[in-house]
Amino acid sequence: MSGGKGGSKTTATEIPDWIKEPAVRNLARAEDVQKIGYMPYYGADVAGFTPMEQQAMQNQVSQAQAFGLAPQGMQAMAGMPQAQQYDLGGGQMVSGYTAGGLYDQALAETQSRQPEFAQRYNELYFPSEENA
Amino acid sequence: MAGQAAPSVMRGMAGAPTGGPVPATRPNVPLAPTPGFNVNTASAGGLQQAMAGTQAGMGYNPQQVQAGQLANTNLQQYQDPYTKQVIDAQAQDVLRNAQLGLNQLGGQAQRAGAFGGSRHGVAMGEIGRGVAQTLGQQSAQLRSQGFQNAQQMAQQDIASRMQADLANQQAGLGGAQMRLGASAQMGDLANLGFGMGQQINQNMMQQGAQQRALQQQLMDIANQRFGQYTATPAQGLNYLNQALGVTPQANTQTTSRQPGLFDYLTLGATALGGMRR
Repeated sequence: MSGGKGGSKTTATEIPDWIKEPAVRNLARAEDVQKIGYMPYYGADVAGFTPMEQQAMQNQVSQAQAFGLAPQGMQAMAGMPQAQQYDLGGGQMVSGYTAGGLYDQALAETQSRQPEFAQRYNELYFPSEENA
Repeated sequence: MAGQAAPSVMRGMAGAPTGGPVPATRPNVPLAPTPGFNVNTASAGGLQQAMAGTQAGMGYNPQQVQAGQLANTNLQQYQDPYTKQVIDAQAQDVLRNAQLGLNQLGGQAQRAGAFGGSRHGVAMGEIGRGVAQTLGQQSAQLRSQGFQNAQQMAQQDIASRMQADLANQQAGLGGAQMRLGASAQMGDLANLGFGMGQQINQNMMQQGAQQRALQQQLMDIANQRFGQYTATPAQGLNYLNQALGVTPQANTQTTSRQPGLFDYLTLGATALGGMRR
């Protein structure tokens, strides 16, 4: 900008509409996207022991029992959580474990121990009416 | 009773052939796995049996052998039970011959008119002395021969008994060594079975791990695809940002000028000059 004796000169850059409009829409969409919170994976995380592995483990127990190193009646899978069955489709099943339950417990525990932080966190994605 | 003893022998030999031609296939040599066989229990049982067998071998005492002595042997049992009869028979023969000699001597003395005389008496005494001497010598010789024969037979029995005792001692030692060797073999088989069981179990575990790895891979892929699903909206934003970033900036630049005081004064003077003309 220049001018003399009190006058002025202004230079402006105008973005074309065919660029500006998608950019504006992208910003609006980004605002929408960032409002989506964390969506954890609740599917199967860890594959369960196969029947072959379970039999091998039971064989180990049997061998230990034969040599007097394990009590009779001991089960190899005792104390292990029961694996869930997940549908692969087509009637095919696969056994495994999910950490979703443990995650939910940890989240609930955090919300219980740090409710203010949890509320602020949640309001980033689920703003209350007065804050909206 | 032999008919009753046979079954117990058969029970003790557990399927062993009881005689006759040997069958082509032996029932106690299984070529197929025994149903219910467990290598773990077999290995543990074999180890215990091997230990028991070795322990028994450690406490084995060989049969003691003691040399027999002739001095402690009752030789009466080796005497010829007919020695007395032989001596008696020989004595009767001697006496019978002596009687014949006496009869001849009496006949000669009677023909010479000297029967019952002193010379007849002396001659009879000589015959009697010879008979007694013959009887004594024959009896002593027969009894001596019988004693020597009894000693020889007793020594043969002592030697035979010693040989039998030594053979039994060797058989006992051989049996103990065989049982000790069998115990060692049982221990080796137990160890072999233990290793086999371990190897098979490791193979099973390895196969099972491979199967589990395949399933784990499916789960990992599902997890990965879920992450891609949740990240897709943000990824779409990036697409547009990237597109905008590489688009040429076709900006339109416009310049506008704002007049100042000098411009207005110049404009006024110009206007006045025009009016004067």
